[in-house]
Amino acid sequence: MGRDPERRFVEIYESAYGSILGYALRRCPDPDDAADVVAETFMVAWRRIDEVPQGEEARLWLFGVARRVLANHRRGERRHEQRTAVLREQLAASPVLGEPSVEDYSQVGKVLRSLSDSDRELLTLIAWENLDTREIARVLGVSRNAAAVRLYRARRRFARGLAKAGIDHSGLIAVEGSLL
Amino acid sequence: MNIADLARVRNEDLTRDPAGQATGSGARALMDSIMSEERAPAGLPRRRLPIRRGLTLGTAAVGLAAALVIGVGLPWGGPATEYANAAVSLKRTDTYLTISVTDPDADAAAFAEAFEAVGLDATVEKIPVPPQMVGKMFGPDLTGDLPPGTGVTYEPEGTCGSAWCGKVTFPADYTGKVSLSIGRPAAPGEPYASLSTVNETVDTATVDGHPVRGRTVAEVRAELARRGLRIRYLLMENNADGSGVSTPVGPDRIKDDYVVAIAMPYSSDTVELHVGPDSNPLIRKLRHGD
Repeated sequence: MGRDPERRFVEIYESAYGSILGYALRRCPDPDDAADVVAETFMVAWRRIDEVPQGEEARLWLFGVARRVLANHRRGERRHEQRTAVLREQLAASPVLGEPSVEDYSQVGKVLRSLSDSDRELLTLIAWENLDTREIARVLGVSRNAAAVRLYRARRRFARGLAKAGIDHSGLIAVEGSLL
Repeated sequence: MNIADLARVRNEDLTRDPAGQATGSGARALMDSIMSEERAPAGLPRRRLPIRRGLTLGTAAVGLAAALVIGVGLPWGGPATEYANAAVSLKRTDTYLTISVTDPDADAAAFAEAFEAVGLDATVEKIPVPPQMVGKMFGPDLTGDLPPGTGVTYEPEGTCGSAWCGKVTFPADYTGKVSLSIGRPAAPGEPYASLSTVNETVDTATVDGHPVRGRTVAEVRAELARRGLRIRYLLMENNADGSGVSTPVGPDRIKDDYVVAIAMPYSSDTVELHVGPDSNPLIRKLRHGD
């Protein structure tokens, strides 16, 4: 695994860049922060390339790193300002990011935001990153059973929050055909 | 509207955007910039000065059992790089901390003292756990900032001569708080700490190696009674939207032909069973471990 780390990093970067950028953009109100999180995540991968697992597991490993980077990233902090300059310009000009986030003003978004970070992360890993229970378990570093139980409880709390807010939540939680 | 609709941006939209393509100018500039860095963790202070072994830093009161307290530190009196007392041995390098728990029964203060000796602001809590988890260390939760290009890994070692051994990797110059928990034997009947909180792998399909998932309540009840175990029932009910509610209920609410989906150790004498009718899709899903 230690051979030709440059080539391996390029492969990982090219295959996972979009997923990690999307992950960060969906969780950072400011695209500049998202760019910084992407830079930091891949910086960790570069420095620890020997620890990055093979195949599809690499993407899950990166999600796990991105989670921690995000948790430790302060809004407005720019650790990688120079290396993300071009990317930030592109993001600023992107029509994809031009619309305000529905999460900011919708009732469902408010309920989602009212959940604990842990619950919200679980639900959005399914709904936004299209991960299944096994993959979430890998990202969180827990057993599949533990992930399933946590997910079940997160859904339950989300459903309660929706009910409390008087929102008819039929179909809201059954995302991506998953019952858990 | 569902959760997916709340996403600010979807991956499929990003792939059509120059910023979202790995071959785009922003992505390439970022990749080239990262790869121009040295792969060895940079920015972390390298402690290359000679380590003086055998320097005793302190003999803080950790009880009579603390017959041996060894600290290996820097010559000018900075934080130790190695420290051991009766409770735990720690070794700190530039990039990681190796932990070996020798006495899980020691006071939390003894553990905190050791972490403090190697320069960490650590809070150590003893939490009630099942017997097989006694002495294990759970965590760490880091609340401070991590320097750029660094992350945290947590890697328990399979076997060692101590109660628990493992390696926690985080930057040597991390100065924030570290929260760790150590499993202590739960008192008889005392509820265990939340197992999901401690990230511990639990086989939720069996009780003491006896398969229970997918079996009826009547079967499992009889088996657990033979083992002298009590049951705390959680009734799983399914909403039309696929979500579920799991509510603690009395045994009078539970039918014999309900099916067990999840079994969790609750306390030394009680098992928590998540049960429901076999017609419930959630039950069927859990039965198959998906």
